[in-house]
Amino acid sequence: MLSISNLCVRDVLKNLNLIVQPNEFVLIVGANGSGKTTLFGSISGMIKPKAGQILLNGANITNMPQYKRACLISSVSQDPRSGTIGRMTILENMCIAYMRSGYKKISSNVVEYFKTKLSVLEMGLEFRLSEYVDALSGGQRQALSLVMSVIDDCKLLLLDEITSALDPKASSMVMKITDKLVRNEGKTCLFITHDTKHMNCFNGRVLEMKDGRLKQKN
Amino acid sequence: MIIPLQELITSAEIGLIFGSVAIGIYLTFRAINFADLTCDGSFVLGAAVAAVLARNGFDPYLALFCSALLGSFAGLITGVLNVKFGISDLLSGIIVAFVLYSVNLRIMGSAPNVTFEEYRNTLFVVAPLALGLAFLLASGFGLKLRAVGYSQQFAITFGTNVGLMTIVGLMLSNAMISLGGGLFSQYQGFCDVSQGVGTLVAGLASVIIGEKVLPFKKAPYLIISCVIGSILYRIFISIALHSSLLGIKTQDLNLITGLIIVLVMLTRRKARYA
Repeated sequence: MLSISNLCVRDVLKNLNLIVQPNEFVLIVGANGSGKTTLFGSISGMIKPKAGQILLNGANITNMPQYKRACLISSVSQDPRSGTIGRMTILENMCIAYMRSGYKKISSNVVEYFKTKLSVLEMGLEFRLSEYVDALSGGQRQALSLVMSVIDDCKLLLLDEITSALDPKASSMVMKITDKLVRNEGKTCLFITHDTKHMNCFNGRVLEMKDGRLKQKN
Repeated sequence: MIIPLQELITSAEIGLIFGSVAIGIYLTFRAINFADLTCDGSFVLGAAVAAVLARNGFDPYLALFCSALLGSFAGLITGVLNVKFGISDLLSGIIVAFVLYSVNLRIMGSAPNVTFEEYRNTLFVVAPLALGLAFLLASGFGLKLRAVGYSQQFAITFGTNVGLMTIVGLMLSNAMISLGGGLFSQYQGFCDVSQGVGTLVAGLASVIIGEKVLPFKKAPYLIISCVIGSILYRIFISIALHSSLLGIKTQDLNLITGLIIVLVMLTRRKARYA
């Protein structure tokens, strides 16, 4: 369970409170500048809050360094290029994601596991493991980022405007993949977007962010 | 233009020694994307340590181990200045290289140069070390190390302690460069406090030649291509200095080096992925 209480960040988030239950899907919508990405940064550890507390499954992670927090929280941001490394192969990218919480042996069974995960995308990436990620389109890279974010047993999945850099076709494909992955993996997910049409894509709680505060969206 | 075979062999041997330097340069400039200028100081540090220990009758291999150890310590200082104190990569390297000039003079007993009995059997330690580093870069640790060089944000997102990785990368790099210095001084039986000048350029030239000439894309193989690039670089220099047609003399070495780097860089650009 994620519990945020009285979170203040710069002058953007003002005494923000939020509770996300295990396996719950929460969609946060809001206009540009409302503080969505600041909230994403505060939870993932990129931004240090001025005041408040962030608890994940009872543990206080407010001052935990970002790289340590990354072992508990998976995140995918808006730029497809930032979630993958173009100059590494698909397999190498998957290996780095798999070793998020510590070094593990990459056996042939693990490679098969990667292939099974990639097959969910229905893009044939499981047959292209030795290809460089630079050869993939923006939509394919974002889809790969999504698979990489759920490859290990992270407690929370944070998705920040993951379709904003994609064209409508790729955007719709990524949304379908997100829905499928979140349902298959049973992850607790916080989806941040400015696009209100995403509200219809998922079954979950919808919150609206306005002037650094959250309220239930009707 | 006829180059004596013995001279070609000597060039290849010096190339092998500087292969260690090229690997060090590759680890910082390519793998962790850190413009480290410590190398000019750490090369002489290794040379000075090996020279002083040799003169005092220590085992040459133990001397090389001490060179590498002290080189890694120089890398550690550069890393701490950058990671913990926020000094830029260029400046932290320059500061350490600057400080090392005095440290090296101290090690050499305040003399600007030291002579001792040459020892050439150690130069082949570069080969197993290069292979070891190639395996290291292919491992999970190597993947994470290279990820830091490509995108620090990506590396952090996937749980990598970027600061620690940068320091470890700098330590490995300067250990290899210092080892190169130790090998070079043992090979010549001589060490001079100013012999580190141009180490960076020679190392970078070797890395670039290796990348351009050999068709390798993967980082582990690129370590091997650094060594081969270094040997080719020394052979090119040897050939250039023997071209009587152009009237080139020894004092034109830096001019030739610069021209070789530019020529290689202007050749058809291959896809270079590490």
